[in-house]
Amino acid sequence: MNWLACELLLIAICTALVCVVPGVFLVLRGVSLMSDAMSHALLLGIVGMFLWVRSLHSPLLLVGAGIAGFAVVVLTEWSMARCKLPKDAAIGLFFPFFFSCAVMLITCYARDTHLDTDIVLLGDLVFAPFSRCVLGGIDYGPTALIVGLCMTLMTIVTFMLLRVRLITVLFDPVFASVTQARPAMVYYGMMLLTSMVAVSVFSLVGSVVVVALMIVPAASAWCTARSVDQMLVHAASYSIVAAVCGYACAAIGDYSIVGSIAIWTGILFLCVVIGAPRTGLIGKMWTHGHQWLAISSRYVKQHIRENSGICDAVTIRVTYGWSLWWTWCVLWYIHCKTK
Amino acid sequence: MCDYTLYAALIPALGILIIGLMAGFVGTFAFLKKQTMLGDTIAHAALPGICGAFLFTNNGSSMVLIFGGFIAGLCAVALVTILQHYTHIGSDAILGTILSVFFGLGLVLLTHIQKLPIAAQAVLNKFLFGSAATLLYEDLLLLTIVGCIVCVTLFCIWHPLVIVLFDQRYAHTIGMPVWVILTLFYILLVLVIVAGLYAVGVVLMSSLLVAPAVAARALTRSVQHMAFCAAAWGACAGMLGMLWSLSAAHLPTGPAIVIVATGGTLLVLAAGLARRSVA
Repeated sequence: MNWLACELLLIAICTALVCVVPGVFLVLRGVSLMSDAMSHALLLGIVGMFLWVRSLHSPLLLVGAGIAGFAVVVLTEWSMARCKLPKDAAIGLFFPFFFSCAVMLITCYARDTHLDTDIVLLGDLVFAPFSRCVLGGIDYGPTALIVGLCMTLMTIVTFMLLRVRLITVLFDPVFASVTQARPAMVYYGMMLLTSMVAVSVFSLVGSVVVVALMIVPAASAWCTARSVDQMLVHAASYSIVAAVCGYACAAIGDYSIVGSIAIWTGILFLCVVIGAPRTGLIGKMWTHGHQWLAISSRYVKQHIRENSGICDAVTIRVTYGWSLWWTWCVLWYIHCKTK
Repeated sequence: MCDYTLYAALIPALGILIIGLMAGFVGTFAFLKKQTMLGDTIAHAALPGICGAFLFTNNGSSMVLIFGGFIAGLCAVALVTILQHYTHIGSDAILGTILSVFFGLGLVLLTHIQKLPIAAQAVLNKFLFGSAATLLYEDLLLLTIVGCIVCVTLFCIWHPLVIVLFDQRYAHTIGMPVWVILTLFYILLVLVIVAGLYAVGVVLMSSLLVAPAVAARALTRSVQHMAFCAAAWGACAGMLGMLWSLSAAHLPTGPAIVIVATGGTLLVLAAGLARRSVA
């Protein structure tokens, strides 16, 4: 593994980590699809700013992108409040409009520049190590890595500062507004942060996989964690595992790193949903099975008591309408319990 | 020359007309079920199906690709339903998960196809943003058949569906096969979305479901009126958008249709707001 590949892996991990805090907030708040809306709406800000400053390397492009991402949130919330639209329709109404306007502007006014809709949709993580951060003649590493580290730090600091408020706003909005925790302020502040994170990440991984990095680890962590802090830690570990495994698979099979990371977040999600200790499908089936067995064994004991201690499997089966298999299970359960 | 241009414009126009009608009809019900974002999920999830069908058959004909997209869309809906039923994760998080993971799978398949030495791979690119101008006679035939199936099925399950959408518990109580009706509805939704990928592509298909339904909801007061209004606006917006994209070279069809449809809807909403503030 050479140095370039190492850097690429670090960038991938960092990109995944940036998305953890906003992702957990979005998932707990129930507005996960807002990340989809934001990451698509960004393009309009970029194109608009590009047409204004006429340069692809200006930091103003990112400012424009952030503004556009935030604007789509404000518009969505506003239309939900004023026009009484349901949440899903309000989200689905505005972001395709923003995205289409951006594509139209590109094809009309910027077709001969290097502003391509494919890059927005698919991202170009592979070329990220080649854009270096050089200050005063010293090479500090890839720009994407440094930006990613700074953004990760920023999200963590924001979370630490707002921790109590965030938890109040997420789990008891009425109490939050009574105690003047300002739920609206916190919500829009977090949305601004999400928009900034989406801006810093989407040029690397494309606007759809941003959703995978934000939502999927947080959704998996929801199954395993028992507090918000735990959820953050779990989500961060899922995203690191997904980034490493995704990168390794993509390197072996020589296909899209970004898509591979998205698939790995999905694989981890599936594993967690099926195999999580308490909330997973297997765990739930185990608990339910135990409860049913306990109840059924009580029935059988009742039956034995009523028939003055005489019991045979066929009568029990017929009395309660159980299948042969279930009768066997219940009798075995009683047998094990009484031994 | 004139006849040729007319003919070349007629087939896409008819295709878009059918797609707009279907999207308006089905979008109304998706809107009432508060599941329009499921449409977005299905559209994104169709990508791996389309790519997979292409890889599997080595065939670029749109019938095969659409069939692949249909299967993948059904898988996505089934997964979403199962996860919503058996886990405590919020339904929006489930939709986001399925959407992005399926799209990631599609990306991997797409990059794999791009390395293959086959010329027909250009076909796949038109599913990202749609290109109605390349609709062929066979596609129109397929769209007509799909449209007939969708409309007939929808009219057959109209009343039960409305009851299920507005009051699912009541439907259960009076012994309606809720599960069957919802499954039929989801199949119709997937059919319409996959057919619409021709016109507006994977990224923007959800808008064609939402925008007409929102406008129609603001204008009408019953389900029948809303459905017909949405279908009419969907078809009109499709035609107008296509005319706009044909008016200049290289204008993509999908975004043009979306801008027209959403723009009109926003006008309707603004008019409603203005009227309310005056009254």
